[in-house]
Amino acid sequence: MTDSSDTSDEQVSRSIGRLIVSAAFVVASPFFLAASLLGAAGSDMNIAAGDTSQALPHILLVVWVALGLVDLFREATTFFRAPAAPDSQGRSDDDPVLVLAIMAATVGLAVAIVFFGYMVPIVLILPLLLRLAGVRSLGGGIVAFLILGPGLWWLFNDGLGIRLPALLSGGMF
Amino acid sequence: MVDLTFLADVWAPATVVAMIVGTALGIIIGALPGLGSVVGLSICLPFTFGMDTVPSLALLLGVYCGSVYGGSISAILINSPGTPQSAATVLDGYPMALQGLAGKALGWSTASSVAGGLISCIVLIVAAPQLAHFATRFGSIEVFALILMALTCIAAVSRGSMLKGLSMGSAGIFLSLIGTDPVTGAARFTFGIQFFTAGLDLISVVIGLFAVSEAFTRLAQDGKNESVFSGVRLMLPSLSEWKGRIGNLLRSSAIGCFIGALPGTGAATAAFISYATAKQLSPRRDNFGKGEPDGVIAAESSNNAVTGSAMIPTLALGIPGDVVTAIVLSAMVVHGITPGVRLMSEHLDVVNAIFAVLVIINILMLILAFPIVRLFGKLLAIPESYVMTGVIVFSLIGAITVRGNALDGVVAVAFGVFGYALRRGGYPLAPFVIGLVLGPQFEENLRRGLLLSDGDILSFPTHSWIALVLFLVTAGLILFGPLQTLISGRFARSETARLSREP
Amino acid sequence: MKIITLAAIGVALSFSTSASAQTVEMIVPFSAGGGTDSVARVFEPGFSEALGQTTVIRNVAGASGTIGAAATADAANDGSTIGYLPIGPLAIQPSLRKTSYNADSFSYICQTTSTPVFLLEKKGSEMKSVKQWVERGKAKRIVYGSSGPGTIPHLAMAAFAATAGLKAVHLPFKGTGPAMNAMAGGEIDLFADTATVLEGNDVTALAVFAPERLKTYPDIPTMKELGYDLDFSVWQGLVAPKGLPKDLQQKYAEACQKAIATDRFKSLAEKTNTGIKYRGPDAFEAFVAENTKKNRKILAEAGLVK
Repeated sequence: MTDSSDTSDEQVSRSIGRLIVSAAFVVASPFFLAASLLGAAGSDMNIAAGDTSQALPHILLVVWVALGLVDLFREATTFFRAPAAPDSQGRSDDDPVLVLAIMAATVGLAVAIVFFGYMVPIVLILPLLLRLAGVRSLGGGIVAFLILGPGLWWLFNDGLGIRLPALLSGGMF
Repeated sequence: MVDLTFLADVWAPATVVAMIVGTALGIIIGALPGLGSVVGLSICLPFTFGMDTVPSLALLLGVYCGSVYGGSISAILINSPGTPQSAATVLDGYPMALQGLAGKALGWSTASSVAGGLISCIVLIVAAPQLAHFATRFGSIEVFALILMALTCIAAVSRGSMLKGLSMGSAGIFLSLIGTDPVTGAARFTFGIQFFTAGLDLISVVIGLFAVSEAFTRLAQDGKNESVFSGVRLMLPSLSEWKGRIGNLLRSSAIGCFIGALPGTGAATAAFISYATAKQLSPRRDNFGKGEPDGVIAAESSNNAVTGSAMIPTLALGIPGDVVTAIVLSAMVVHGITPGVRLMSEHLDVVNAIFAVLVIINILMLILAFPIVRLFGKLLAIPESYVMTGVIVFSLIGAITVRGNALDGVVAVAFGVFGYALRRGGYPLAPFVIGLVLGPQFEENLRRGLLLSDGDILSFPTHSWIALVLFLVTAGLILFGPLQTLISGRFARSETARLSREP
Repeated sequence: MKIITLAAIGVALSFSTSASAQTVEMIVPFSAGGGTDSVARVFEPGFSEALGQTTVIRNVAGASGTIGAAATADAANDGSTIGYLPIGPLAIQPSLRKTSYNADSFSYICQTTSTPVFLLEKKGSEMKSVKQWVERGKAKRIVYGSSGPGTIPHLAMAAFAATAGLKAVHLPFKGTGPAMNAMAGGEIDLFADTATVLEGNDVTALAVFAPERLKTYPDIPTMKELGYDLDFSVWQGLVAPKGLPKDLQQKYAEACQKAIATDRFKSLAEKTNTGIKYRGPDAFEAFVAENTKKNRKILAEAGLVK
């Protein structure tokens, strides 16, 4: 992890990335606030509860957005004064395409488990995940697949008696 | 003088095996990111039905104590706490490892864990009834004051930007309130989805935020960084290195002992409070967050001190302090022992056996730590692409098995993506976790306090002298901590970082 | 998407012979080590043996048991999934909040336990009887605790406060443990819970919410004797998703009856002061329907639902 190869362009794009994250983090709060005020968040389930149950969450959302906005303002002024400010926390050598692919595979795996149980998705997606992770050796990949896939399923379901989600309840998968 | 017949139970081969197996299993389960104390105990619970009373309690206590310590191994080696209890250990443990001091950091965490555990055993044996009765004086308003005090830790761990830390803290508390209102039972922020009425599971969120996002971060670099910690060996600190740190160890253990005795708080809370206290009081406070052994000592001694003292309300009053002690209690019930106020008089032999078992388990932890850390060192010698894929799969299984719900796996992964983005945005993760851990207790006690005082929050400090003291301390912490930093930050924006470190 | 689903199901079917023939999954809607789980784990071996089929427990925890109850209701009704559910998710929660299921979403197999609750106060309190509490509750505010909104301790106390006309404040806690801590510290005056709680804590029973005095506690008066016709008990039972074939329902009910007659189950019941109560499929279904109606009325009176 050497930073010597960093060009100023990379530093600028990193600063922009920081800004985007900050902005997204601030926007999340009004989203919840609006949802709650419009009744979309499901608070209408219990009429007798009144609004006491909403008071504290609303205060927290306001604190969140207020502090976030001040922070965003500070980030933005720093950015416009010096767009290529060195960033101590940034990891310059992340490959954005690769990380998005890994995230997509992981999210896909987690969502598929909800619908199809543990075994089928892991058999389909784990090889892809191992490949994306950078496993190049076939033997190693197969061993890792067998241990992390069917191996863990067997260990938990049969060895430890903790049921993992299955496609058919009581079934093999 | 003292009836020592219980020692026969403790030295029975079955008990000895149960202690060794339980402790080793606990450390390993704790160290695997994703699997924590609750999963470990759920795995062992069915086996205890066929065992005698003392061996089955030894197994469960071994898994419990071992897992609380084990979480620190992955906190230090892969920047992800194996359990939420070790979230505070990451703050200084991982920076130490990055400086090539992984073995040393593990040594500090091991020594502090064992010391904290043993200190809490002594407190449990000597003062359980007194402490349990003192703890009952903490009503909703007193606990609220305590939680408020703990929330000031958010400022203490906001590395980089105080503003980001505070907004992360409020976001954490907010997200912890999603689900069912603890007073009315109304559903909040569930968007009509039944799964959300159960709220977000703390363990799944912590797994995602730390372990999954760490896996994303490392895999994104496509094997460009060599694993630095392969073949790591545990190095215990020498006696001379303890010089000037004993006070911190004792204070943090005491905090852990007290928090553990309060039902419904827990090890993660204790670790953050001790960490923040140590950061205020340590002579090396400037170095906190950059790899300071004092930070590791504070976090690890206090979270392991909870393991012994969580048994205080359990044994003295029959009140389980948390999910873990509730499982231990249920194991007693299955073996025909009614836990409760009469436990100490009716089943003194079992209580004494528990005391002895807890002491032995803590010593076993010290012995077992060496081979298990070597084992993990060997595991990390495997190329990172395998290890990190394994971390993702274990995180998924861990999240899914906590409540037996596959949707918790999706939550973990979603927070993995969120955590990755926040790291890139320079946001500190610890304040968010503190908010999540303390949020529910904060709200519950506040709401109960308001019900008791007819909605008059201003009467809280005058409720009792305990409340008054706690509120005054909190006010002091805010005045001399975050407020000062914020004000000084406004006047000398470019020098915020330097000024905030001035005492 | 559909093709993947079909393919996946095809793969699964070709490997697993008829699912119902191998393992029965028993959903317990609370985590391992909880009160319901402890009973279910002792119930399970006897049930498996009587049925001649392996039964495995799956803990699906969260939201007062409603997540596990919903998982039971949503499962296939071929007998491969059953649920060991207590009163809360079955007869209270569907009234308290929007759940994806209600009492009609199940085929009822059997009731296993029924344990009455007691009115409890701190041991050594200067108040000696229900009458004294009622007098005090009419004069000034009294505080009662519960293990959460919509739990039996809450409902029993809410009904008592309403019937006796007390000025009472409800203080909910996360579980019985913290509530008992609050009672020891004097934050709450009254609490309602089972004999397990009575035996395990520094509390005294003032009355029992049952129609008749209990054999095990002959000195404790019933609420009815004291002029308040209140009957509250904590119960559990076995259900399956709606539409379970009649022959399976009968087979399971028979196995259930045998399971609660085993020595193991009886001795656990004795140790935990749990009352064994068998009701067959039809009686249990009628009981749940009637109990749901009653609880809904109390929730409405307590101002928790419309």
